[in-house]
Amino acid sequence: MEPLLTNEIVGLWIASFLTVCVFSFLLGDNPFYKFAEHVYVGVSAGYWMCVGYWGTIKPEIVDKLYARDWIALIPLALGVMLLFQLSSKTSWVSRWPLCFLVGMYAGLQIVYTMDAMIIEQVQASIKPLIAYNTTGGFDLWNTVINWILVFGLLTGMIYFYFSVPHKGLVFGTGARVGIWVLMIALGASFGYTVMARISLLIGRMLFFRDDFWPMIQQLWGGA
Amino acid sequence: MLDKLINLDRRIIYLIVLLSVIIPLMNPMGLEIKVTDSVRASYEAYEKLPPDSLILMSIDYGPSTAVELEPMALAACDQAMRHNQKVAFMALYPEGQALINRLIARIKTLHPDKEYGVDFVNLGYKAGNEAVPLKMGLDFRGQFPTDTRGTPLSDVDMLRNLTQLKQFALVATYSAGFPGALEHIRITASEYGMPLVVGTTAVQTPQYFPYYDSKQIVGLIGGLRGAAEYEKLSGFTGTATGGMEAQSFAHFTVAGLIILANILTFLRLARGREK
Repeated sequence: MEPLLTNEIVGLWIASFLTVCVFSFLLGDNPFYKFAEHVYVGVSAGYWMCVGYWGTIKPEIVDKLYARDWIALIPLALGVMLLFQLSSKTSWVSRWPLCFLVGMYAGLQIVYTMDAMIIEQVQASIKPLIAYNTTGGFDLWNTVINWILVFGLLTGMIYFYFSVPHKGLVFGTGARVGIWVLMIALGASFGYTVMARISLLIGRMLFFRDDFWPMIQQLWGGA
Repeated sequence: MLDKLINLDRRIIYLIVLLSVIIPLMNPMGLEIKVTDSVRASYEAYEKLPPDSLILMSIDYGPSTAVELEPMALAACDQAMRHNQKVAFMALYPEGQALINRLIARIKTLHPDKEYGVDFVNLGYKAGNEAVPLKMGLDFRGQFPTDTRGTPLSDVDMLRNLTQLKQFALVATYSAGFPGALEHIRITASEYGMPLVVGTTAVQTPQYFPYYDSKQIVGLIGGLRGAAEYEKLSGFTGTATGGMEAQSFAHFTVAGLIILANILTFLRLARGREK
């Protein structure tokens, strides 16, 4: 391991101290946790402000205006109009850029969401109930999978169909089975969520193992 | 005793979970990792590309989710560099740009022979969510006139002839949420028909399986487990494989605690009936 620079050592101490401060919340709310929370919010706000300026305002407005590209005055005006939200007397001005944002976003979403998330997904859910493999033989495994998919899809949809009472064989039993299908899906989803949360803990432990501990060894060893 | 166990202090449970993570990290045991189809498909998508192919890699995560997504992105970068493919990095996620710099630093360490501008380039972060991939398909150089160093794309060796998104052989997004994978699925894959590999956090993985099943994306890597599978396939020594052991032990612990809590609850109910 290459000898660490002073700023790297200071950074590692700050990172480890803030990690311990955040974990201290598990013992209850305390000033160390509050300190870490406020530092996080402050640093995030500063970072986003810098990214907003260097990533958007400078290249899209400042540089374009310097290059006499006057079309950049339109987003500049819309951006300034958004700031009128800060006063209740002038907040009506900010409705114009908000309308523009909502309208533009809705237009984008409707076209592309319809295609990618509805039409293609519906197409993918239309499965043959008797599947054949590439050699033309009967494929039992995929047949079973397709039945489960179609059955699960239909019962799940019945559960969310409220125009008729959930009674009888089709709507009553179908809705009850639909609940089971949804619970299984939510259970699988929850399993992945547990995995993600444990991963975050692993990430901090790896930081202590791979970054912080070698730094301590280096300091003690005098490397 | 039964009541004491049922009302166990939650801090003891935190400690047990913490130990179940720390012990495997300190003593790796080499548990076997089975590779799933969606991860293998992601690996094959890189593997089948010829040398000099252009890959667009969208780094759409921040430091909070880097533990899950950085190992898979790094393993894929290493794979691309070993096959002499060329990687252009971009980000829809504001923090992505800093994480790209970290990936590039690792690439330079792992492959000292690879050069910036020749083998990899940083196009940086662009605000605009869906509008970014949309404009990339219409006018790539209009969306990214320069790299993050301010060099015009026409002067970047590996992108000298690039004018359209379609000239990339593969697009990959390593995404922690919004904006990220969904924007690329909607526009890059569905609208422009680009082959897209998606790497996501575990929380989001179930949400993206339907897009893999419908073949809207060519591969899916889910969470730390997916990253560990990818490392196994590519032979890359990263942090995901070691982390996966801790993950498995923590899952056993959590599942064990849930089962134990259920048994204790039933025992208490049975005792209540006896009284």
